Amino acid sequence: MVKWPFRRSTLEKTVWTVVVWFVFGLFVLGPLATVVAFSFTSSVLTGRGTFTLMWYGQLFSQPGLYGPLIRSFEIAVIVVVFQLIFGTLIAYSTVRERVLGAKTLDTLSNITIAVPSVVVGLALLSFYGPFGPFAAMTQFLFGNPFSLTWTLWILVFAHMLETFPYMVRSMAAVLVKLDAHLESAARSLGASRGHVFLTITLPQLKPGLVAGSVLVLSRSIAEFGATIIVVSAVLKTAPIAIFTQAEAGSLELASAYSVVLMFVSFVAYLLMSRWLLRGESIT
Amino acid sequence: MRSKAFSIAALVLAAGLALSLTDLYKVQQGTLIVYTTPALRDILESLIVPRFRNATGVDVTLVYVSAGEEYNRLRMSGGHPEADVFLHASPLFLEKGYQAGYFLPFSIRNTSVPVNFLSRSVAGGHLWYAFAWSPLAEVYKPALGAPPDLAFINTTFGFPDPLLSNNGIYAVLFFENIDPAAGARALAHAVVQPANARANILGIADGAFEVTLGYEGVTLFYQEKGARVSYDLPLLGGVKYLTPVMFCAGLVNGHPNPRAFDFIDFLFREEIQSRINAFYFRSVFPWEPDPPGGTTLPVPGQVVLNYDWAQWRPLESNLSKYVVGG
Repeated sequence: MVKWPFRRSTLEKTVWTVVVWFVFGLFVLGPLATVVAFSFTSSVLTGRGTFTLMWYGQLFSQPGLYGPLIRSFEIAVIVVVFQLIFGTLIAYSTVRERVLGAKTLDTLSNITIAVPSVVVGLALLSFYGPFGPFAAMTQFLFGNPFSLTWTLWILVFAHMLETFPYMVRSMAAVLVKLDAHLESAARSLGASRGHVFLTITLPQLKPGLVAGSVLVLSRSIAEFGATIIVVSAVLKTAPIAIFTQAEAGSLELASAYSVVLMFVSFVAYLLMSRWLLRGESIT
Repeated sequence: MRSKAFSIAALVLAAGLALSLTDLYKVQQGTLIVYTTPALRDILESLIVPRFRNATGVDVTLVYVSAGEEYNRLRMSGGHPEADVFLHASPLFLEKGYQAGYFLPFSIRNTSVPVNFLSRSVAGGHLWYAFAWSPLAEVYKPALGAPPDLAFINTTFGFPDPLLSNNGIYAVLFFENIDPAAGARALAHAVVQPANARANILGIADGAFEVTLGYEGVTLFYQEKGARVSYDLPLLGGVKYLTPVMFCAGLVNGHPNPRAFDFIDFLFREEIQSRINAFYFRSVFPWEPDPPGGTTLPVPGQVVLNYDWAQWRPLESNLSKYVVGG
């Protein structure tokens, strides 16, 4: 067997550094840096663009343009609040096995990670649309078919389904480590269930609540696949705005939107690394 | 300390929830929604919508997707549409949708619209009115020197999607009415099927294909932006053809905003019609000026192609033949 002469040498390290950074640059940094560059270019189309802040000026001065950014944050806040309740409830029920079929529920709570998001959107539109079971049920119960198509609620449901596993998993990870004996001790000393939950359980859930909220917030802001199927025109979110701007040939404006979203995601990542990766520091 | 932090976080979230819900409900109410095409983007955003908003105080949300997709959104609404007005580049979907009950007939106040720019009369008025038009154009890469005769096309061709885009509908009707064999030849050379008229012209600009059939107005718009594209009236078998691409308005049945009709009526005001040419389209009123840089009409020897849109079924029957791989 011939021994590689440059093994562990400086040359080998240099070659590997160049190769790895080249590949990383080609597939990750390059495309992202191009989006940033386009957002500061006066006209990409002509290939003779000069540096400009015009697209950001337009983005933050015209309600029709900054509206989708605000919509994204508003919807994400609603989804976070609902997930804090719903996700915590499901995680608590499955980890503590408070419901029949807890294991199955735990497995099913990950289903939307496996299912393509566009399918989730279609499923919601089918179920809550004018031709689906929800309209038929309301017709049967109230004599009037009720549809959620193009409403705020179908959009919130879509984001909840898409972000649901992130909250459940974050909460479950904390719940399994929780010492159930503390709760039992408090109960044996006469504390009510609610009091035990608020004073013993909830403070210990804080890392899961924070991590889950940050993940849900960032996932909801970035959600596209299910949103494009169910979103109404007036509730258009930032990712949809990026898509429509790019489709209409406004690559520069689409890039400006993208940079704002990347910045938000980066801030969310910083929050995660501060609180999630060093989770103990926030307990 | 901990419970204080929890209380503050809970209060912030509750306030965020309340503010978000209030704002989102406010946004949903009182906005007039127009389903339209990216081709009309500049004229709508720079001329029509700001003036309409100033005149009425009504906010307008513009939805730019292909006509086919927007027509399907109306179908999915099940009688509860989000859109108020349908503003697209051909009357085909309006004629088809009227028959399916998605559009209402109406009559605008301005009575001087030429008859070739409005639909047949039905009970209650007309199905659609065209408020602007643009000639169908053969758009090509400047390096070709002159527009190739479409009967013998031997370059890559961008055939706009005929099921989604009105641009595609006009392209199919053009070939089917003059020379279906030339259409088959163009399709055989098609490398991309753009979903709207802007994407189609951009395909020439970015070198995705060399020739296409697009709109004069969109081509002039991109030429002004510096795109390297040329155009002329389509040349087939040595003859140049003038096909008026009509930008038509339809009133959505069950439109949630009561000002929907006012928006359509507004399109025919002098303050709009006299400025349409600045956005490279042509007014339906013959006395208004042509767009700067636009083709001077009539071109010697041109043949004019008009379609009977009321006969939408036979017009539509050939569309699917022109889907690449379809």
